[in-house]
Amino acid sequence: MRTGVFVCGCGPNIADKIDIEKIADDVSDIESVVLSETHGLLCSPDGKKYLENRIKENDLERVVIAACSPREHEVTFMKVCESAGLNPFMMQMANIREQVAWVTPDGESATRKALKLVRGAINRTTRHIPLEKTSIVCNPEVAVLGGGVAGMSAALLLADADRRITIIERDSSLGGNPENEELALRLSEAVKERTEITVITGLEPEEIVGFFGNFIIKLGEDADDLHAGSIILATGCSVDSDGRAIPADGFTKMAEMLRISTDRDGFPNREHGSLAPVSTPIDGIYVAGCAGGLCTLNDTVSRSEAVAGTILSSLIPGREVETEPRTSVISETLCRGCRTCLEVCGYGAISFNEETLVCIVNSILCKGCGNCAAACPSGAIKAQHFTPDQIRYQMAGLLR
Amino acid sequence: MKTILTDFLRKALTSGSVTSVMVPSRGPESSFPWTLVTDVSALSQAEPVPPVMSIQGAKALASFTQSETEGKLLAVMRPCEARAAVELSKLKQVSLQNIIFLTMDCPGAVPLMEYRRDNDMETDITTPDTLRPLCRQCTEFTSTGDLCLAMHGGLNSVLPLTPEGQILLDSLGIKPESDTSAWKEWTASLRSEREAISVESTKSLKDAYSGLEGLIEVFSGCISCRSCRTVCPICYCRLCFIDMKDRRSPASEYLERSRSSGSARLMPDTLLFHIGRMAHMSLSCVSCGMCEDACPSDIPVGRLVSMVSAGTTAVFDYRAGSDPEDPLPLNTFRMEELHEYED
Amino acid sequence: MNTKTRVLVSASSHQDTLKDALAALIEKGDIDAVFALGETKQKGRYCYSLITDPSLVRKTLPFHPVMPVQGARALSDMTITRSFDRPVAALLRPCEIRAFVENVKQSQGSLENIFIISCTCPGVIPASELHREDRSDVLANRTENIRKACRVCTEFIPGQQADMTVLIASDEPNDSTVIYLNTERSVEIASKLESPSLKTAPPLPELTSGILESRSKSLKDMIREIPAPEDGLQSLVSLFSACIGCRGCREACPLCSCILCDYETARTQHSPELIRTESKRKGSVRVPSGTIQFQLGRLMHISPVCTACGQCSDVCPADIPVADIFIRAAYLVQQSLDYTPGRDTDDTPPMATYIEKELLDITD
Repeated sequence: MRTGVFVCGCGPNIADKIDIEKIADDVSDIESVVLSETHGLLCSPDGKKYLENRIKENDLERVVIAACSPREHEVTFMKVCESAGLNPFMMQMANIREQVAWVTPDGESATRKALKLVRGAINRTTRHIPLEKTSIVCNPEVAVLGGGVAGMSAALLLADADRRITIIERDSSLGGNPENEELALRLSEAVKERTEITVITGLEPEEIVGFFGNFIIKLGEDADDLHAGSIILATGCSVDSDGRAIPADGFTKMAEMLRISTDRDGFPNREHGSLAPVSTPIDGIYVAGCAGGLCTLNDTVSRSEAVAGTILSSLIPGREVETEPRTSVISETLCRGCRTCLEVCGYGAISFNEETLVCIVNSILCKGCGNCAAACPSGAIKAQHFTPDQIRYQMAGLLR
Repeated sequence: MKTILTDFLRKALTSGSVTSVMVPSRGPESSFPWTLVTDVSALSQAEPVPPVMSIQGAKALASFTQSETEGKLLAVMRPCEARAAVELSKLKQVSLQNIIFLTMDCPGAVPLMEYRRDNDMETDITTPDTLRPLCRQCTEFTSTGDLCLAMHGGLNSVLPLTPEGQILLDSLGIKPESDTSAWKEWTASLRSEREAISVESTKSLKDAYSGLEGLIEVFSGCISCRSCRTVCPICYCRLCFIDMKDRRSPASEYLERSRSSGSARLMPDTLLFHIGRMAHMSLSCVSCGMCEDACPSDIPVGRLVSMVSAGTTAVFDYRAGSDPEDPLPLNTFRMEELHEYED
Repeated sequence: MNTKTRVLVSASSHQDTLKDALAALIEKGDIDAVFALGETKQKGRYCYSLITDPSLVRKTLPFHPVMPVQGARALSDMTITRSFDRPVAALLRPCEIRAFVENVKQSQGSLENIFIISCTCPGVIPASELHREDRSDVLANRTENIRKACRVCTEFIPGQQADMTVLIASDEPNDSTVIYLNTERSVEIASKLESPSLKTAPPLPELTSGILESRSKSLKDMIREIPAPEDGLQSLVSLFSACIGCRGCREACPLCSCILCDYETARTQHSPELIRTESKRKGSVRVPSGTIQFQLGRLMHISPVCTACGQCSDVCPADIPVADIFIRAAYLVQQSLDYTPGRDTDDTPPMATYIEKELLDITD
């Protein structure tokens, strides 16, 4: 095994506190380490180029980068590995900035602690397995929840751009708020004319899973699941006894289903009040009309235009989204079907097979949070890239 | 007790109120295997409360009730077995739908190995010395399940404990005894007697094996046969954490471990296994004593796990097997809890 | 072949001789550690340990007549991922060596760097006897109290893997300790020891023919007594009716080395629906199902390689004579396959060997 260790000084951020030369020197005699060096700023364009070259020149099979938090630059360094021809999951970062340099006052103990973290990371990489990224093509279809003025006008605009749209209306017919009856009637006539638009009435979503590009809307046992790349919330609002606007009945449940956060009145939070007023914090879910708070008819129409524009510019047919490779897998042999994992999965990614009495992970929906692997009492679930083996080796390296 | 219970089963099966019955039966070589009976004539072999617990009833029940049974199943079990079944239902290993539990004033069980060597042993609640140690200190010896056969305090009657139990009694036209006060007195007095024994036993166990050193000593005779785990009704994993491949270490690591103190015990991780099992099981332990019965090394493993269980369940104010609706503490998120353990 | 073999003779007891020799070898750096039996903190409880400290070697109990775990199981556990890279001496009984050789053939362990010291084995005492209050009597009357598997053991002289063999079981009692040096490296090791003297002695079979004879007879008797398959399924059901499904026999067996037993998987376990349907069809079924399936399955998997150590009977909390049943089956199966488990690491396992014409006597 050929491991390369790179200790980054992060300008003065790390180098001022930690003796990075000593770390590079101390780990150099570990059996698998063929190369251990320091660098001033590894995330700089020069640093990245340097790293890429060193990986190539030395045929590195594992890379350990002692630098900042993986939240900051894991993606950066994974990309460097990829362009150097190394599977990005063979790289491990040791966070010696946030976890050491910035918090440990004394330089000597900081160096000692950093060394332990680096040793842990080196040992961990010996158990790393390459994981393959896959991508799936976005579904360009759009689902509109709510068949009032807002939903219909957004649907018509999208239909003009040759998108396929499904409107789901829980009442028996389109129309929405009776105050806008005349406009609603005109719009519903127009909708009927459009072959691009399918209308489902008398049903509402029971469960929505998935993510931007690939949502699955379950409408109950009697209806087929609906697949869509984006969802428009056009569920309107109503007025409570105090005369305040509140979200439509049942919206709270839907917000929970979609895991979107809401404001004090129960309306969905927006990504940005003025820059992205129709986008929710969840990619691919948009708010039209009064579903985002009471507004005039004019506002409703202009918000629908904004939603349609955003979707047309982002949900481009043929676009691919990468799926998370660090998913959980369930061993069919070891699973006892206790379904503890179903309760802790926040992404609706696990289901129970009544025939075989075991649970199954949908790898497209799984985000790799690892909750299920931690909760599984039978050790049947493995969180890839966070296997007990890898963690044990990391611990062993750290404690030795 | 045997006759009353068998007659009750016969009546329930004949009337069609239940479609099957799970009960221990007399097998060859003085054995008492569990049987799932649908034919009344097979009940002639029934031995509803055998002197030994050969397989924990909940384990037997879980082998065929992970999915819902069609038609009512009447299961005759000791109280600890019925409680284990309730715990298993929370882990989705038993579907309680359509199962009616009939328990009894449990006379306890004699140690399995002793019975295998002396088949004349009988259980008698009045001579506790012959019972397994955990039976001697058991305080949950009655009033579990849907129905319970009360045989003390002048009673000789199957009492309903839940609406389901009442429905079955009604359908069989059985009127339970209405005056249960003397039986309740008997229950209370035996319970307090047993509580005293339990306190005493816990104390002597703690005195004998305190701290890490004590634990090492008590488990030093463990031969890693894992029988305690396999017979435990709650231990239901197919592959135990301790047997996972990724726990293996190379020979050099064994040498290193040996060097650190001069000698390393083999098979390794005996204590880790037992402490791990306690951590995994103690919240659901029903103190049935099956693990201790199966131990070929005479380790008081059941009493130890039961003692730990008393402590952990108290922390969560949880009683294993008492209420199917009570969620498992470790699967329940509470915003505010366990503040007393914060620093 | 020489009629005389090189031996090492010492005036002290075999336990003291071995302890002194092994401690000295560690001190000199010839071996790194000793794998041996010792008493635990609790009196009357024993375990195998890997010992690196010479002073602790002096506290071991070489060839004490107990078998808390089968030595092969412990050795396999240590060497399954990587072999020892430094020499280690292991004190093993013949059945433990043979089981370990079978482990090695199945890549479940490695003999590399293991220096094996064995003995002509007098047998071990059942665990249940040891836990009795009067265990000192048990140890005193050794031959009468040994395991049934030991009483019928005819393979009590270790095979060629043993570098040294201590003469313990023999027809005539010995005043001194005699250790046979079977390999070149054992001669080399012996030459480094100071006090004991090198001599020659007659081959071991000559000194133990009486034991072999009486044990062979016991074996034949036992094979006759155990119910045979021709007695039908009912006799098997009877034999295993008291089984509580603790699987202790499997866990204790040095040859059951699967990570997950086939009989614990959903594949072999009967579905809830099947059990309920069978109950309706038959009127009554035993639950949990699969007791006989498990025992027969294990018998099938293990009988070609069983080394008759008797550990399975020892751990059985229901007092089922598991080992008797296995020893009988193993005897017949191994004879018909012409296979001696543990004889040589180069013998290919019978189930992994294709012979065009074989077992003609059992084909019709």
